[in-house]
Amino acid sequence: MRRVLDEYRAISDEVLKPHEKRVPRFLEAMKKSLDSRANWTFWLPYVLSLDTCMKCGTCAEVCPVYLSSGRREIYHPAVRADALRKIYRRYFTLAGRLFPWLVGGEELTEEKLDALVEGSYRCTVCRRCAYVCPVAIDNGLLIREARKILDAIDIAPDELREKGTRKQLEMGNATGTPTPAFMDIVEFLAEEIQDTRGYKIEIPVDKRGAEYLVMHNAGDYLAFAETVMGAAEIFHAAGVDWTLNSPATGINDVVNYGVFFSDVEFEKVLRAQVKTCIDLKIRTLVVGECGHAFEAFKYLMMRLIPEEERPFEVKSILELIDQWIREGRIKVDPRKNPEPVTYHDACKLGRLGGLYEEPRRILKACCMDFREMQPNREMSYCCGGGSGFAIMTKGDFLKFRMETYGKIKARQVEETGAGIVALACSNCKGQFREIINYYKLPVRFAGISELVANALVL
Amino acid sequence: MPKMVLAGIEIEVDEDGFIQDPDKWNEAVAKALAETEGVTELTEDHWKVINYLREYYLKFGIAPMIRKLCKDTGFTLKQIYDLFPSGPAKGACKIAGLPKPTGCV
Repeated sequence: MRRVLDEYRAISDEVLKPHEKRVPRFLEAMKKSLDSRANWTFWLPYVLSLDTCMKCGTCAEVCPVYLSSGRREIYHPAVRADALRKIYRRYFTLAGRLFPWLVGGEELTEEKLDALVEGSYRCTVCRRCAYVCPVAIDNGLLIREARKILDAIDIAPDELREKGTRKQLEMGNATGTPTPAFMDIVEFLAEEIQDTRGYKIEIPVDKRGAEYLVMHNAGDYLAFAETVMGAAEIFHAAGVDWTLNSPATGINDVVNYGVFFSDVEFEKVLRAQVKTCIDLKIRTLVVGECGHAFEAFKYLMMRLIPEEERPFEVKSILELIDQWIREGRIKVDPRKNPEPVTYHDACKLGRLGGLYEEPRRILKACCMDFREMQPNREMSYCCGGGSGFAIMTKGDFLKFRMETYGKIKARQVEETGAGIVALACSNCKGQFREIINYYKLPVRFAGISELVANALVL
Repeated sequence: MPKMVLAGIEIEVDEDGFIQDPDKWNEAVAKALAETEGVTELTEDHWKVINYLREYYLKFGIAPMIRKLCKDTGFTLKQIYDLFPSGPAKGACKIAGLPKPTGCV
């Protein structure tokens, strides 16, 4: 593919439309993004981050892409975000409009727009940089705002929009699983549990009024079934009133790729998910092992939908499992997981969601030999699957994921000596599958639910 | 939509080379698609996976679960990667003429 920023391309020319005049539309959309009434998510940190970077470079010292690339300037977090700042200064500040050269304002050209698009997709918005910034600038947030502006002018990865949010709204899930296929899957899962564990459990589907609706990332059924089976075994063992839901009830996929690139898409998906929960009259929505869905339901939803319009609680499956182990509602025996296990903090669950201790308490209760990866928690490195990257594979993009984020992660995993990497996010699982394959690591990954189910004492 | 000449016929493919109309698929097309994935020879084991994927897709409108694929064909995931180096989704599904799997898979 044509080179626009570096040797990779995340977005094809078919979506980029380099021969159209896009700059005026971009500036119009950016103008709107700067209006607090038209940008409901993070307007204040957005404009502060545009205004205030001191160029101290602290962010670069923690950015996995910058560090692993041998400190390439184009991957410096402040430089990456500056693509947007330069436009802001040139077109949206008084000084910049009059004397752009004085304030570092720069004319936007079609070529620079191409580079801005690709630059916005060289960062997983892991926000490790934001965590260390001495003046609380969030360069990751600026990347998301850039992606939002681009989405407004129809530039978005088709994996995330056409085949992501749009498909989810049409089919009930982004995988395009129709209801008969979903029922076949659930039947197969119950058989598998019987074959592997030797006992039969019922997996309820579409049960109205259930206390817990467990909504998984629909991709988990197809690619990471052990996570879904583990969750079913745990809910069965806890003896609670629970259900899964089929696409016949609305949305049965907890993902919301709008989190990655678009508030417009985000809102459509979230409202459809909330409607499904209300129609099913469930009491608690349990977010399966999916990082960004936790952000969507735990935090972003609060900014969009008033409390009285969402009459159900939201819990991560990690919060519930942790609670049930501590209460003694489910019993686990760590001897059933004797192999050394390490845990990778998903950015959206940890740095963004604050779930640090829950997965650790769970793993320590369920595994004999739990080992921390270094660094971890707030300073955990993104695996490289974040913000949709795990499902973006155009051209050589997989190589970008492996040679940057993946390289650091592979080394971290090796240093623990663990045989199993525990993960609680579907995008992390997708990325680790590739990392393990690419670097030939002698390890396997497992969902937290799978390890808990292994350890269950019935 | 780009077009590719596969086994002598012009077929619409997406940007990743997945054919768009499953009806255009036949064994010769599968062989041509296999070459684009670096699979030079389709053995009996390859066909077992390809035929299973196709039958499931025609029945349910989606690719099967990876776990089910492994169980029903008797191959481990590693063996499937050995047969189709780019994996069950990007490799095997493409050769079987399925659309590219979507969502977090």
